[in-house]
Amino acid sequence: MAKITIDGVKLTVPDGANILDCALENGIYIPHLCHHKDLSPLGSCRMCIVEVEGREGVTPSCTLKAEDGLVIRTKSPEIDRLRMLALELLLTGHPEDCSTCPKYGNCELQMLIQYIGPKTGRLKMRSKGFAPEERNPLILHDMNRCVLCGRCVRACNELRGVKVLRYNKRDMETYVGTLHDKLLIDADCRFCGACAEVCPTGTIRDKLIATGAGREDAIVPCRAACPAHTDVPRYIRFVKQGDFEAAAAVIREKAPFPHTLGLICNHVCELKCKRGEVNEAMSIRGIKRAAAEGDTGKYWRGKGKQLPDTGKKVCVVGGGPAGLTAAYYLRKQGHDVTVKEALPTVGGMMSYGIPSYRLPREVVAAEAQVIADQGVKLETNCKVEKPVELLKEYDAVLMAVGTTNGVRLPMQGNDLPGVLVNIDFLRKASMGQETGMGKRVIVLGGGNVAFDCARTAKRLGAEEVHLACLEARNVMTADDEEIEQAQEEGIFVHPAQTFERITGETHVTGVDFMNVESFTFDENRRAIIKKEPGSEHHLDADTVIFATGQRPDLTPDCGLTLGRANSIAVTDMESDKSTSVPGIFAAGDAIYGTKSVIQAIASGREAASQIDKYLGGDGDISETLAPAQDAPAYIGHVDGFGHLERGKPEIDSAQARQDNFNQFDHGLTCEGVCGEAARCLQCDLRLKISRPHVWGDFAGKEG
Amino acid sequence: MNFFDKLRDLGVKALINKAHAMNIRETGLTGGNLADSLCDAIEQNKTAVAAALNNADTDMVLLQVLERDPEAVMRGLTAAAAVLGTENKTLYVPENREELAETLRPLAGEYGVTVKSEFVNVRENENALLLHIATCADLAHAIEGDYTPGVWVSVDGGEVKRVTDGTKISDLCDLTGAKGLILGYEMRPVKDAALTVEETNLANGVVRVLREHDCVVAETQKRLLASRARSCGKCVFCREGLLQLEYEHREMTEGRGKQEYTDFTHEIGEAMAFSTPCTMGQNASKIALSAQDSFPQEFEAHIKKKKCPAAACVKLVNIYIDPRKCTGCCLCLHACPHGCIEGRPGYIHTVDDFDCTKCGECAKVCRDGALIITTGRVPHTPQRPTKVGRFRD
Ligand SMILES: Cc1cc2nc3c(=O)[nH]c(=O)nc-3n(C[C@H](O)[C@H](O)[C@H](O)COP(=O)(O)OP(=O)(O)OC[C@H]3O[C@@H](n4cnc5c(N)ncnc54)[C@H](O)[C@@H]3O)c2cc1C
Ligand code: SF4
Ligand code: SF4
Ligand code: SF4
Ligand code: FES
Repeated sequence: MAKITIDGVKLTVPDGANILDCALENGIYIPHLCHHKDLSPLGSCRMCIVEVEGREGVTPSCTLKAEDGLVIRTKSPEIDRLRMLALELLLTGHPEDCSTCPKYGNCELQMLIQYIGPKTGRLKMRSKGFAPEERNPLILHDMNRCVLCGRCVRACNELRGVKVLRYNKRDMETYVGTLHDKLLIDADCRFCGACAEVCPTGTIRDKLIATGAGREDAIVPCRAACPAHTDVPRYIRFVKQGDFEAAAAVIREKAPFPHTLGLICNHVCELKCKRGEVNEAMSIRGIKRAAAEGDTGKYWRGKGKQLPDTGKKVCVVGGGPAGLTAAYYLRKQGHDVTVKEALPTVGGMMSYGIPSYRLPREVVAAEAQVIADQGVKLETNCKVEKPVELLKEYDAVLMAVGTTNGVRLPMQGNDLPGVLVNIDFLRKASMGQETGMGKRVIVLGGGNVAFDCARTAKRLGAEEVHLACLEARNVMTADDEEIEQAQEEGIFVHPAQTFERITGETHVTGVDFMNVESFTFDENRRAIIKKEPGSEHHLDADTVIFATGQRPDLTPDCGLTLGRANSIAVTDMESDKSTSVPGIFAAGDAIYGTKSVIQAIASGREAASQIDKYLGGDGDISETLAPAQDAPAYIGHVDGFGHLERGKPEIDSAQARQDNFNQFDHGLTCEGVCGEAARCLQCDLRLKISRPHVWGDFAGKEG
Repeated sequence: MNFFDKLRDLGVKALINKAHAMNIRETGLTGGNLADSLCDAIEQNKTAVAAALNNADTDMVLLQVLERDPEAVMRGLTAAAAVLGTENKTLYVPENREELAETLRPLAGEYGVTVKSEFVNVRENENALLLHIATCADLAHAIEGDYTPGVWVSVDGGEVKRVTDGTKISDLCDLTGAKGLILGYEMRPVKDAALTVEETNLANGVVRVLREHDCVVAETQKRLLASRARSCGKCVFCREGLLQLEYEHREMTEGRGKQEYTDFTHEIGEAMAFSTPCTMGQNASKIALSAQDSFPQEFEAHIKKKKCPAAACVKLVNIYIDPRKCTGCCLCLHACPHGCIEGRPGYIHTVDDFDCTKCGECAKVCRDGALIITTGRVPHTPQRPTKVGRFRD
């Protein structure tokens, strides 16, 4: 250790330590620009100069190493003069007007100017004349603003090892760019964002700049987009490292249904994945599936949190993902939890809605078993009619009853024999019961549920299956993959149709349609439909299935205040899930309408935390299951990185899949998964880069 | 005996002693004693040796030492590396000389030397002993026993030659009509020709005599521009300082010089020297500082009077055809690359100022001395076609 003195303050620091860093960490501000704590010192900007007792002249503190007895002064008239001169020179090549810069207010240079206060107008100013380079995904280069601190070059080369950025020179102007001025993707940039993170100015910046609270979310959008905030990049990295068990443990830290999610998650994370801007989004769900399938439970089975019993009793009504998740975490908080489920098995839509060719029932059963093993009591075939009465036996009740009532549109013929509704149809199909379906089926609706109905009908032996919906093809809510696969299976898709009437006297004979010319919404979000005159036409059918939404199976008799579309009214959808009856909470589809399994899980987690607090706990349901991860900052250069294509799952042919309920998507191959995981930009690594020390942070602290 | 055997037989101690005994001075900016540098490098645990020209060197005449006898440079480099006990040997040739690097590589391979065509990154070479190419050659000669104390010099851009210590600058060049000298990185008064080569820091081997028609300001501007072109541009003071100095000197040569520029030259130029880590930043301003110190009246003329005493700054001179001397021969009319001379056979020719770049081609061809380049005013010339001999003011 070395004893040094900076501005009269005595410090003991490691021998050879960087004096600038030592000063900053000890609350002594020294202006600096080219230096960044995580990068090797460069000593090029000369803002950080200091005087050392016994040495002539000034010396940059960023390249000065600690040794015993150093006495350092950070302020003197000569230091001020030279700093001012350095900044003046630096600014001659920088645009004078800050206010148009997107980095305004967050620019380190701007703060430096405020601190040093340069004279202006003395020296020759110039515009470097570089056009902003906007063709790269995610990152923008505006070299006119560059002060050549070289942080980005060091970040890209020594911190990341990608070696894309370099100093170039054109017409006597030095600038930062790529070899031969290639686009980043062609220079094998890994879009890690380190350059934008360390750039003190608005030169290399994110196309989408987010500051303050939204910063982390903008930097790692997949994790932010996931309703349960699953740590996507962390488990992808484990998969890349071949540790599927650890990856599964990461997922389990947020959701008790990793395998189910790996198969059917609606993956909003992928929509926000930054890799999508580069070429194709990560197959996050495919990776999750592989992790779950490669998992033996090494890191979590029988481990994780289990608080001692509290003696409090909770009843969860409804055994879907929301209810089961809440039950699981409430049990872990030490409460005595019972789930009451109306149907013969738990799982909710995972067991009775989502068809088994997408989600084999064993998968759900195995994951539900983990919840039972944790000590949650599951009572099936047990429909709760009067939830309020449960409060006699239980300290708290959670209503997670989902949306189990299919909606019949109000139209002529909607109750004719041969008219079915989505939820009932799918449930009966799942249970192997007679569905009442004939030979020619028309499904009304264009969402994923409609396709589940159509494809189930096909598999149950319908000879002709049609699907019609109001939306035009490009705005249908179902996934493209779903629509295309259905068409491959011979299902006829009719977009942009109005349903005029269901025809038939004693039984369905078909549906009358008209073509939609335009379909918009007014300012009150009411649909405005313009029909094409004279386009009336008819499709023959003996079965019509409504797949036009579903609602909670509740009546006002249940004793709870209901809201829009029969949903259970809660105080706040996220932060306070209490209902109109004290002690009764609600979560999942029942409060916000049909969304997704992961949304239900997130909702269930929030409910568990809130109920735990209600029962006297601390509401902290978080747990760490995965082992510590080695996440090297040095990601290295990968040839052709930006052009690596998204991994494709193996899918059985339409011929092979359309007449049975076997799972037909076999996921990514083993090598495919690791390759896919290697495509991740590892956006989270950027969060580990130290944040700058700016003058404002010190302002209050100095005497 | 082959070189490697000789080196091995000699051993580190003897090698250093040899350098010491022969008092080999380093070529380049330090001008120090090679034996001392080798000892220092051992003490500092340097793990590599690199041979290069100074980064500051924009004339690069000393590259001839390498081109003429590459083997000597390789050997000297190898010997220095042997002293440090390292195999890490790099030879830098200037960044725009990849073809030279390529021709040197086979030979370099024999000596285990890596050849790079790059500006020397001093930060990456922190652990290296940096030697001038010419110093390496000297060391090799010392080992071979044919070392003569002296320096390498190129006079007025001529071939580089070995000049023994004790030689005066005035012995090297013809000083008739000289108004100044460029010695190494500086501009000096003629009286400095009395100094010997070892008293003058000829780090880049450059000796140049400035004569009547050489403009000190324009010469300085040219050299600043060359430095700008070579600077890697990473350090603020070198990049931006050079830009400011070069800009100011250009302004002076074009009649827009401002009084405060002389102060700026000192303020910026002096700070550059101690605010940069490599010889480029440390030396590039020397030319401007020394020129100002040695030739204040030339700067004064450019800034205050907007005149170039050497009549070399084209924006500050006028060119015209003396109507009394012109014989109407049309030679200048054909010589002018910009077509700004008007006239026809037998008529007095005139210069159209507007497009004239003052290149002086016309003056070169005129047999009658009619083309006048002056820093003074232009007298009356014919306004319309006038036959030779008919001109009256
Ligand atoms: C056909 C279909 C396909 C879908 N596909 C997907 C998909 O691919 N990916 C995706 O992420 N999401 C999908 N979803 C949505 C997803 O399944 C639901 O959002 C999710 O299951 C909601 O969970 P939940 O726990 O809130 O409700 P549910 O899963 O509906 O569970 C509610 C449970 O409560 C039970 N219950 C109801 N009333 C009572 C009562 N009174 N007493 C006792 N028990 C009762 C029900 O029987 C049911 O088991 C799909 C939905 C449907 C309908
Ligand atoms: S690899 Fe990372 S640091 Fe390098 S240019 Fe690309 S995004 Fe910037
Ligand atoms: S782009 Fe930003 S980080 Fe890179 S050198 Fe310029 S100012 Fe510094
Ligand atoms: S690239 Fe990776 S970390 Fe970045 S958004 Fe996509 S999955 Fe998430
Ligand atoms: S020189 Fe130290 S921060 Fe730039």
